[in-house]
Amino acid sequence: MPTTNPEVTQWIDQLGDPDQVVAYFAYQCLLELTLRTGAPTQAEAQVCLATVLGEALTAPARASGAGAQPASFAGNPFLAAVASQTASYRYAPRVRVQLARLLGLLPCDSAVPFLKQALMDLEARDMARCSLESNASESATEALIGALAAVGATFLTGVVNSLANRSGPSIVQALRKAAQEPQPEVRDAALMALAAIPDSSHDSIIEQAAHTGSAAERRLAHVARARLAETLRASGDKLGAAHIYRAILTSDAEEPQKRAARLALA
Amino acid sequence: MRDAVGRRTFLKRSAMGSAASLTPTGLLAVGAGQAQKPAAPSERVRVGLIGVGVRGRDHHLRFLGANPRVEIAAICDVDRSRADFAGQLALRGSKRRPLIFGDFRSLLDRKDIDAVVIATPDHWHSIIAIQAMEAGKDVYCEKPLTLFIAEGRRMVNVARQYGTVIQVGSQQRSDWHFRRAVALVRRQRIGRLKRIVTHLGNPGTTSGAFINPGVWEPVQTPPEGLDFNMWLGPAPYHEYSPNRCHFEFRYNLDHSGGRITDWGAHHNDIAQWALDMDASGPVRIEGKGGFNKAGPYDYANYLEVHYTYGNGIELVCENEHGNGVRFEGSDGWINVTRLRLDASSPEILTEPVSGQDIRAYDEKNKSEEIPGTDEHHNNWLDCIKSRQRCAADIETGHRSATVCHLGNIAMRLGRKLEWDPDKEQFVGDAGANILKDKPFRAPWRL
Repeated sequence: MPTTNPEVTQWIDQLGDPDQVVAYFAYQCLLELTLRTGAPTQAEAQVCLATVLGEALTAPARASGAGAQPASFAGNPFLAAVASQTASYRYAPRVRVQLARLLGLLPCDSAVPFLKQALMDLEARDMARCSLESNASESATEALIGALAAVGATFLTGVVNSLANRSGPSIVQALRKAAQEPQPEVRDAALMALAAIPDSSHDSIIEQAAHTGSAAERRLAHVARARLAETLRASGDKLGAAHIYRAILTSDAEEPQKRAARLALA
Repeated sequence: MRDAVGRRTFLKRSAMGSAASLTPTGLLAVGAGQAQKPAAPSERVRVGLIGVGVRGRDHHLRFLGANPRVEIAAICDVDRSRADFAGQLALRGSKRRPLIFGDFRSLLDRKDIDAVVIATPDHWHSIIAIQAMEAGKDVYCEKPLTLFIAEGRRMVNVARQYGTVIQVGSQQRSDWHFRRAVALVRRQRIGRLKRIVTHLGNPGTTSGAFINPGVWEPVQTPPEGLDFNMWLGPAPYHEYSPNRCHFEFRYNLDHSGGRITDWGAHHNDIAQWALDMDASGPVRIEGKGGFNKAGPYDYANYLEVHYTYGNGIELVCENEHGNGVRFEGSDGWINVTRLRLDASSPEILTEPVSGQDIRAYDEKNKSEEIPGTDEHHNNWLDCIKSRQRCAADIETGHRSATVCHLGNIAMRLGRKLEWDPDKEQFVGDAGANILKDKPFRAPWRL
């Protein structure tokens, strides 16, 4: 098992240095190390580095250190719940975001458990989501699907966007469910994600959205429909694509989508 | 013979048309430019400028604002003071007041705008371009077309789906010097092409890399009127400091590729053209770069990248020896910059090139302050009318940007890379393939 460069932990500590130059230098050193460790011949070193970075990303605050929970909230159930669900971390948010980002550059499964845990970290979770998007493993897919249970429309939109770049039955099921979300931005993202998957049955979901919601939502649904048609055409399903394009021509889609349909059907 | 059909008329007719008129524009096929006569208001292209910093204002607004075939109908910038200032400039000499926007989506919603110019930082190009195309606008997108490789293919696909006329701002494709140089190389006036060297150093110098490490500045509150969160858009979150924003974006790899995409998108684009690789790219890449670990700029301020193409020809991209492109063949060499064209033997240059080899109106470009600029705009306007592909079509822009991104990735990784230009992926290197893509900050998506 290769050992990690002893400077790594020092660089991690320096990421939070108040001197910008020190913090920047430490990040550049970690970045260079991470990128070079991503080489095809470095599988064992990747596991080792992922563990070091991941443990730092998720490390809890030291009992007596800054950020530790200060007091007992016995007698106040609400504040006790707040305290129990507020994780405190050893490293500052900016450092955790950088650590999450570095983990996304390692092409190995070992980074996933830490990134999955960081999805619960409100300050680092969007970067953890981005890094899981970069990770091609099944476990990363599962972590992203699990993140759809989180709260926050912007974050959930990001999760759906990340799932859009993947394929598989579990993805489709999750996106279909997201397409029913009450929050319109999440729903819109799910329609666009479904449009990126070559499955003509998605048209009924998208077409339905083209009749409901605000004018902006309906317009987005028409754009998604045109995207789905092109996804089908590119995957070889020309009949499926033509069917959708013909439907676009007779719908209340806007002129650009109808023009795309005419170009495709000509 | 050019069809004298206005854009709006064309769009109506295209209800019965097809994509067949969108034929590729190669070296020999670009038509002559439109004469500079005032167009009737209904025939003018109503343009929206998105991003009016130095490039959007001093270049696009300046030239397009003076172009009688164009009406500057709208201006958009996340910095209100910049948008308002550009609006004031656009108002001079125009009877119509341009609309001012802070959010590009509001501009794209306007059905009375035909086309947009995107001159934002690189991290915004793909999102704005794709949404513009899906809103039915034709597009002029500044170079480099992309910030990372994967988004380029998406942009190309959308452009083809919507029949968008899109010009990439690699205006050297419309510059007399470079057009002639490429024509001479492709006609083997220097014999069999063996090597191309692209020099990305300071223009007008013969040596010295462009080393600019930047100056550290404290994190601060963004100036009033600047929507910095919108400026960041899909890029990773950063607190505001002036050394990241506006013109400085080009030195920060979250917003740009640095020197190799800033100037490489020009000179490597010329190399790709001369190699007839507009729809392809190199197969092997190896590079070394000097990344300044003291910051704050994180781009490679020293670079040397060696590319090998499938035909065995080598492209070397570096920034220590001036600025321009050098072609080396079995029988001589040609060196071209924005200011001059030289060759190993005068006969190489004096030998006549037939009228079809270069654009008929190239000679007047010789005295332009920024060679190629006006012609590149005019080529875009010609193509909006004819629905042909532009001199710097999106596929060529994507491929040229890819060459630059490959160089950055090779320098960053410090190892030899193999690239499959057909599949557009690295061979046998999962770590390198991660760098083809950059996930967007929520909620942005392509």
